[in-house]
Amino acid sequence: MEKNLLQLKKTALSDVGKTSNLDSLNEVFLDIFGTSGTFTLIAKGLKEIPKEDRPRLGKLTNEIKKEIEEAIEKQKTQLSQKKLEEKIDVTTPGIKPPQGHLHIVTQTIEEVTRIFEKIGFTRVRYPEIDWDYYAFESLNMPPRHPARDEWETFFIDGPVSPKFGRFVLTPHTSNGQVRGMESLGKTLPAGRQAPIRMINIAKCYRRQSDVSHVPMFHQFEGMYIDRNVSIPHLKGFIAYFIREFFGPERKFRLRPFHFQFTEPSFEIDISCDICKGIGCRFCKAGWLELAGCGMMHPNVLRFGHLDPKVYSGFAIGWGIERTYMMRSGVKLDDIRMLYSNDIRFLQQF
Amino acid sequence: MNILIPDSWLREYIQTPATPKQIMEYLSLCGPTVEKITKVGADFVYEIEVTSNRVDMASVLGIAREAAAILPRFGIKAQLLSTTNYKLPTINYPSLPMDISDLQNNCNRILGVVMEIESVKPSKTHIKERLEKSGIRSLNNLVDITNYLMLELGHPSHVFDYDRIKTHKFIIRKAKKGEPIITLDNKKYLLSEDDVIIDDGTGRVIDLPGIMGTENSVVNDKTKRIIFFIESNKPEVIRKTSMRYGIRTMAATINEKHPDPELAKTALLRGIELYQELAGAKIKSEIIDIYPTKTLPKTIQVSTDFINERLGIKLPEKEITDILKSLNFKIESSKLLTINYKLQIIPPTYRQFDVTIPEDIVEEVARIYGYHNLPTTMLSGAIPATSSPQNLAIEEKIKIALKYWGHTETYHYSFYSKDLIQHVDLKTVDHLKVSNPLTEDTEFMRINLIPQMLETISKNQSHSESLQLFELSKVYIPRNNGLPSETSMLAVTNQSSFYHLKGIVEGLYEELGIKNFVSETINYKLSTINSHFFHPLQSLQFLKSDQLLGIIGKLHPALATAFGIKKDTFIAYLNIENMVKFYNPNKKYTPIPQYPPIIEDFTLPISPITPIGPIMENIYKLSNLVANVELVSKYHDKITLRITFQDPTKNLTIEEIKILRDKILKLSKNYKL
Repeated sequence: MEKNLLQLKKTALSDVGKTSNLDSLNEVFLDIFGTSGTFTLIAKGLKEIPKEDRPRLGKLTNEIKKEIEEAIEKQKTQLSQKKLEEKIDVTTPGIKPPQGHLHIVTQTIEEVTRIFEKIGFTRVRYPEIDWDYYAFESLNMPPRHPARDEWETFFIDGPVSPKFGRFVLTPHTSNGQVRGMESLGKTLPAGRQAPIRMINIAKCYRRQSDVSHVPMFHQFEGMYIDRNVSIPHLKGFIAYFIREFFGPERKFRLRPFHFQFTEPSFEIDISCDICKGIGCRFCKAGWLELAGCGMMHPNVLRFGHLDPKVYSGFAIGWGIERTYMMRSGVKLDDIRMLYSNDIRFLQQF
Repeated sequence: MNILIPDSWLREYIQTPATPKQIMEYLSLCGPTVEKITKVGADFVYEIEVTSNRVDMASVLGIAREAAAILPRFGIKAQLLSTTNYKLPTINYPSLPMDISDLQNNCNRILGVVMEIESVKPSKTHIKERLEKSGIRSLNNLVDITNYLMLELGHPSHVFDYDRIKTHKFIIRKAKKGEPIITLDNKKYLLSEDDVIIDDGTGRVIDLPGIMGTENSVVNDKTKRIIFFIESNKPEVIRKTSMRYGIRTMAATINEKHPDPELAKTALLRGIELYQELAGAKIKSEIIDIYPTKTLPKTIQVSTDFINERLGIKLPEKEITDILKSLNFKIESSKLLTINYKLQIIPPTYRQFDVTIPEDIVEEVARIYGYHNLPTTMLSGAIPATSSPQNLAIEEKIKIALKYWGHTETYHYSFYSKDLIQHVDLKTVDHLKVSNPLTEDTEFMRINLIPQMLETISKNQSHSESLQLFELSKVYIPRNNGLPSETSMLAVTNQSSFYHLKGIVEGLYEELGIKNFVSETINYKLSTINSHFFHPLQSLQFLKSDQLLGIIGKLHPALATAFGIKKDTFIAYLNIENMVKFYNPNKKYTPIPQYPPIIEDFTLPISPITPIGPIMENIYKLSNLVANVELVSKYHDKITLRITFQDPTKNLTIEEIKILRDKILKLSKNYKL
């Protein structure tokens, strides 16, 4: 037995020394000390040897066990140490997941939607080819009204409805005002027509194309209707959006303006991000025109079947593209770039 | 409209220590927007935007009136200098004949007077300079006076050569259809019955009133006697005629906005004064003033409560009435204080068409008080229980998935050209047509997203090894009744392989919880969505409940050639509306199996033309113990499938596996070479 033990020790120490990683070391460990391992079997034989030899051989067995265990432990430390020496070139570029790009317009729409969702505004979308009635007439602009000029409207060949007029390519998202009162009002509990908090985001079209105009663009229209809505509410709404979208350092002002469908009407200016309000070639005396808005005209409420004696509200409309560019420092020389679909442009965002 | 007002001229009407910069800033906050100031010599010129409802501001006088009301609110003194009290001049009889008639009531008011002038000559320097600073070219003293007057007071006027109108008759009437006219800039127009003209009694047209004079009656170097003429026109007629022929003179731009008929008289008197001063004019006739129906401002009843409710603050009545008085509104407050007590407000004549309802009064009070002085209050009412259409959220989900799967989003215009339609073998008659396109590229509303996508692929192919693009937008399909149908469609492209794209589409369906759809080769009858874009043998349609979810396939070789697309290109074209119908975000929970699966790879010999889909499907159907069948590889006449066996209730025995294995091998023999 003594011979066997010494032979085992020799083999074991050599086996341990030969291992090159922790897995093989573990295998060697099991070969020796596992339930049917070489050492385990020999140690079991201890019971059968004569009594007088037991203390000596028992001691030897323990010593050899300890010795092998120490060797394994030592080898383990060495192997771990060796792992630490394994080196890779960390400057080699990473393997990226497929990375696509959402168009600026989509990104902005998502962000705007989130901002208004937080204060309870429901996003909607209405026809882009709509009746003249929704695009103009119900907005207090009867046929041939000069205010219609401002919209450079595209018309579509088609039937003319005695009630709704012709097809137009919506020149603004304000066609959603009366449509919103008609459809959102219906989703409220019976007998209620308001409050309405609506954000309408859609494609719009105007007969214009130059470095700062595109024939197709996107607008978002906020409409809020409730009892006792006042100009300070409109200011609060604007201040909220500007803080969320542009950050707390941008200022705004309201200028008196005229729209047929709001009374009073305003234009909103936001302080220029380039000159910080001092005045530069990108702005008008430190201000950039952001949006048009106003308190809803009583006639428009009437077109939406709401009683202006009971309800009041405000409406506000912006261009998605313009709004994005006023924040981001993306100053395009030619806004038509947005719709030219050059991937060298699209993949920058 | 934008107008140019020299600072020096403005200060003839208003006395104020305000600097031009202050005027610009404060007027913009409370009145007309001053877009910029330009220094011209020692003077400044304001560029001012006048909104279409405030034609009363489109003059030096109008801006001065606004400034006089606004500047004191900022602590700056401002005194309006009254220069509009012109006296009726004395008249030297005998009066020269002049006969004006408007039997059809084409004008609100007509004023005219004959004058003899000393000479036709260039205007004096200060007149010339003022006109030029205001953006109007100086011609001669006679014409310049009409322009000067328009800039100063805001009412257009016209001057005729009295001796070129032999009949001395002015018959204002509707034009005849096709009646010719030559305007003073020597352009010929054929008129319509909606236009209004002046006839000299012989049928000769001598003016297009309110818009532009004619070549045959205008003053020239030889003019000795003039008729100075002002009419207050019907705005809608001016607008229609001016738009129809594209004659957009400043006079037309003002007249279509309904200037105050009362102002017409003031303008006539000021005009006479100017002709006397600058052309040595002597009055040679009575002043004719035809004014059949005088309009008056409406009294508006409004309570201070109503005003304060909209302002969101409590302004005392005195402050409200002070503001209104500063704008020349008259207040008649009833002495009796009752519960329904209201202010009776009468706007000045020059605001009579613009201020008509209580909301208009709110605007006047609010803007002069200053929007910047009003508080900023967050909305506080109940949040309505309305919900957003489901498709918006789903569209967003799809776009985000595609982005993270490596696709770049494109946006094309909603219209395209006839050329493109023909290039892809569609028909213009299937499209909605824009009545007034900007260019031929904006003429037809698109019914399909693929044509523009092909252009974009072609344009970008040199910039990328493999173009992975998408667009999710509406197409516009004409309908027999009512508005066109606007359907959201999705086009996805790649240049890797059919199977990569099929995987993307299947991945999308999985993401949206669309299950149990059928995929099959394209049925040309069913696929009305332009299956001719695809290679007939390398395309597939997805259906659920007989509704088309979408088509994918290789781009038809003929189209690839037509667009010069060099690489093999694959396109998926999906109907979002139909996908929304089957959208199911609910997930079903099945307990995690307690017993380990057995996974085995099978390499099976099959004929290369055998479709793999049905083989996999049949293996899956062999037994409930087949939990998954996956394609590992396909090589010539061999496929390798990885099959997962699992029994959720117990460990599988070697015998059970053997039976399954045999079944699979037996099944595969059916597909052998």
